[in-house]
Amino acid sequence: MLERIAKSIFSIQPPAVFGLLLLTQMMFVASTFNTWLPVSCFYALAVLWVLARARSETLSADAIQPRHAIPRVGVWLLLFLIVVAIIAATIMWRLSETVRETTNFLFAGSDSLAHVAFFLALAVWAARPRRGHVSMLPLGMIVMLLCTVAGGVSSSLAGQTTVGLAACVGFTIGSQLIATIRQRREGGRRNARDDDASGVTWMGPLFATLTLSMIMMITTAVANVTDRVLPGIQSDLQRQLQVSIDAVTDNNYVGGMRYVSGSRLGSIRDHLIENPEEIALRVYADKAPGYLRGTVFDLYNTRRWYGAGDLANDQNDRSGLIRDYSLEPAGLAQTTLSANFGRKLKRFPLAGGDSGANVSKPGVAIQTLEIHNEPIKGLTVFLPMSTRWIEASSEELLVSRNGIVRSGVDVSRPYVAGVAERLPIETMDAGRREIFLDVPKQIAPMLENVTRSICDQQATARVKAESISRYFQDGFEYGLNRTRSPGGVDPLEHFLNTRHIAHCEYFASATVLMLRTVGVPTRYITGYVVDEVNDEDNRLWYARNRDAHAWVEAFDDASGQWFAVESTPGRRYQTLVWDDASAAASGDGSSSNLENEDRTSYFSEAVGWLFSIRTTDSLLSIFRLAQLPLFCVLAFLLWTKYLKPGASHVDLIDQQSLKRLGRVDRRLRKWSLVRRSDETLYQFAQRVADKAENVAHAASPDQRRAMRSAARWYREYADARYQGELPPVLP
Amino acid sequence: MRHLVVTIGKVLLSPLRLLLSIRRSMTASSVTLLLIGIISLNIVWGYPWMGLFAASLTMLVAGWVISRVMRPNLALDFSLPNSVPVDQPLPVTIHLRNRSRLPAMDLMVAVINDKAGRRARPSQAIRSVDGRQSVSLIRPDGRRDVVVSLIGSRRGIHDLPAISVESMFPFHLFRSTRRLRAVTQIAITPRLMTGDDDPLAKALLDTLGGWSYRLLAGDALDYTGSREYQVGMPVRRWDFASWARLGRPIVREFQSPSIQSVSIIVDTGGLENDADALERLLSLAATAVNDLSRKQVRAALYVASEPVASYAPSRHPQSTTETEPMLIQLAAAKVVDRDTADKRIREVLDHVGQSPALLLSTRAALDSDQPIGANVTMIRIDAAQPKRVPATRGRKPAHA
Repeated sequence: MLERIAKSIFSIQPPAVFGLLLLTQMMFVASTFNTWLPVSCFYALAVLWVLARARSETLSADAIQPRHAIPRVGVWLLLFLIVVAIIAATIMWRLSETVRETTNFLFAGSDSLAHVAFFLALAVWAARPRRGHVSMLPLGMIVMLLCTVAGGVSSSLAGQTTVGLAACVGFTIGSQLIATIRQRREGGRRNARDDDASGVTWMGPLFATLTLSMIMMITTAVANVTDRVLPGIQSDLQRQLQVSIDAVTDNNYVGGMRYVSGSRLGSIRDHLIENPEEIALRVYADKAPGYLRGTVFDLYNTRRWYGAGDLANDQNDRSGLIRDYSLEPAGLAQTTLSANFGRKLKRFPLAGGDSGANVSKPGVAIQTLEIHNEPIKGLTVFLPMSTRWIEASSEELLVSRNGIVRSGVDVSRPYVAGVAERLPIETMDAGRREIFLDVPKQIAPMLENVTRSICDQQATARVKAESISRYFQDGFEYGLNRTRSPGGVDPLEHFLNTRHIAHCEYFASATVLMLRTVGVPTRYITGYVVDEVNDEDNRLWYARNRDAHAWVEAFDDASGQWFAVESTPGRRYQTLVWDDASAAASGDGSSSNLENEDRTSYFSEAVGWLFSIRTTDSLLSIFRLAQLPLFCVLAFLLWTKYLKPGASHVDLIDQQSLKRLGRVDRRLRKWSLVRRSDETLYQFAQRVADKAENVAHAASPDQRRAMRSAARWYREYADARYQGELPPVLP
Repeated sequence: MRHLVVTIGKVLLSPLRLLLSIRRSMTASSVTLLLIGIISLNIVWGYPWMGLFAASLTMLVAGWVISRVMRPNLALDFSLPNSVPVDQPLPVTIHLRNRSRLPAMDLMVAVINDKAGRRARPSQAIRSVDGRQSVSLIRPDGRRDVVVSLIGSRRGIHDLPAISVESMFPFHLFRSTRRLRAVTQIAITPRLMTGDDDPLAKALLDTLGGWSYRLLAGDALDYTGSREYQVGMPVRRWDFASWARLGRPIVREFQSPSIQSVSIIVDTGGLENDADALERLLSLAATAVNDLSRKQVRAALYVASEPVASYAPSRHPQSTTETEPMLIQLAAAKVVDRDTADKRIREVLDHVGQSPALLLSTRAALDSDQPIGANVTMIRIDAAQPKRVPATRGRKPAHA
């Protein structure tokens, strides 16, 4: 039975297997880049070509094949030209399409290269349908890499695990098939006598399947471990290499392809300049979303901003205050998205900048923002300052003490921010206050002098912030000029001394440090200003690269709340506008009407569930479910092969006899009587009997009796085995 | 102390050895996985390649570990003839027995041929003429036979070349190779000389043919008696007188006692610097052995590199058709110094007595002054370069 199944599975023709693997790739590429029609047409052409070729080979099987008239060099030249033509044509086609839609070169590059790799694999298959070529393996993996990076797969654990498992299956099947065929063709002629013992044809496929199953299980485990460990590694690595990365991306167009971070003074300017029109965020909201925070920095030192957590590489006292914390979902999302994006999101309550222990929660009205990231630009999550909760495709979030979602959100799906009008009230402990008041010693005196002249006699944080903001707004000029400070002089010091034209980073950084000199805790924020509405859909808002911005958040001790400070000339802080209607309508963000409407119809709920099933989910379920039967089969076969007496090739009587012999051997081993391999049973029996006599003085009568009876038993055993009978059991 | 140093050295070098071993065992698939794994390490910068990273890492690591675990543990046996002439294909059946409790899968079996040109070493005596062969599976304690074709390029008693068995399991991700040493030897016997080789060879063969003709034709046949003809009996001469007298066909039977045993003595003395002449000499000897065998003459062979004790015509009761032991003797022939050769040949000639003997040598005569007997025919092979000898002067025998 097993043999028949194995034969039927493994007798599938190689061209069909290659075709199936390429079909999977085709679906992956087409769904990722939305090129179903052209890609499937090319695939269909390749299939037709392969079928036609197979038919012509069958018809002309008896005819003498004409030798190729083209010399070998000519064949190579022709192949080279075909490859170049495929690459050139595909790149031209894809670039002409993608450049119209996006100016992100990384995305355009992924798109073009993925198509090139797929078409090359298709061409290889068309050229060698029966045996394939080893180049199909790297081409297939490149397709998967590029489709994944372009957002074809969710970056969630489930999505990634599915891609990994699919890669395992496809790669191992392809590798086995290509290499086996290649070996048999190139000298490795199949041994004629190999088929003689075809009674074990099931064993090879069985071991291969079990190995694949094992690899898949380990892959799942590795993906899980990576998912847990990766955020920490990413954080550590970014902390360690931040300086060098920024040095690399300095004056480099790569900066514009990713989301703005802004740790170095000037990096946001570069971001603004490179691809200014490229869309960074799409937000669905009833009103202009305004400033969305992406990164928060705490400490400044020599033209560079750092997160306090990034510098906490030792176990100092502050590590507990600045360490990120993880969040579990509080339940399913309750907001209806602008379109169906598959799986349901989950809601995570953000506690307003702390774990929630020292935060009071006023009853609040909520407005929602549905934010769509560009996955290719990075994993940064952008939220308004007073976000109370986030609904995202995630199982667990890692959130910083400054209210920034560091990781865990699947940015290939939209996420929803529930925004309150005000931040919750919180108390700031001494440790955090110390961080938010940190000023570099080198420039502290100069900053104090300037600030004192501005904020003289002013009491509250808000007024001080207002004064400093006005100081910059009135007396400075905004521009994207690059100004270099003299050697050894901090750029901020140079900026304040010379009042040169500067951009938002200088104004925000100077404001942060100046407020700190007068005792106002502050932090430096980078993100995007989302205020461009779509011409046709007034709920759709855009942020482009040119909308990257840096601003300040200051803590008001009087109210116990953070507030935004905008000191860049010509700018005014914007956030969601609140009126009575919006507050009344939204409640806690749960669109109860829609919810009730949905619940009235089981049919619509079922349809929704069906639509929410994603390919990766179902694939993952299949992989998970398939592993159990596989292991059952393994256990069954191992049992029948090695353990079950009747099914093995050893006779039952032989097996029983050997067991009995082993039992007696073990018993005699206690008296240092070990049967040697060159000793017959009769010789050993004699030795045992001799020992029983010789140790008469040292052994008890019972022991001697046992030895004698064992010696007798060995002789009986030998006699019985000689006659093919089952020997008696030693009493 | 030395043991400690060696152990420390091994431990220190173990990472390097491991790396080299991994490098040797990598295939196109594993190289692909390695490259994809390296690219997918960009997950640390936020690229969503966690699944592909996990897949490539697992396939690499688990594939390598499984490949090591499933490394074939095979015992090797051969079925092959005792001897084979130089440059003649030799079919060898390799019996592979799996000694492991796990099946050996996706195997490639090949005879290891030395790579030529790496260093100045003598060419491999026995080489494989065909490529690798695939064996899909050998079950635990199971056995498979693989037939390979070998060819011996140098005369001598040689070990069979080692066999390499590669397992490509799992999925051809890695190859784990076992080199199995063959402890079997085979005699590569001298090539039989043919007249097509060169003019000198033709001349030598003519000489040899003349000797054997004279040997058989020149000796009188002794009449041993007459007997009644039976169907199938070989008839040399009818006894017509008796037939007429008795009315039944009667045949006369003869026997040639002098040619019951012929000794062939090969003088390998003084050929240290002339391997070609030695090979030519042995080729001629092999041809003589074959020729006598074909003519139903029983022969005993002595090669001067053997101790004299090994020559005992009485201890050679083999039938005339059994040429193989003599050919193996020729395969094992070595060069000895002239004096030893002279001494041994003299002793053997004493043993030979008056029975006919053929002495093959590169010398015109033995160094010692004592003449050889009239029953001994000596054929001399010129040690000089054979191609210089004009075809018309091909005959160079020296009859004693």
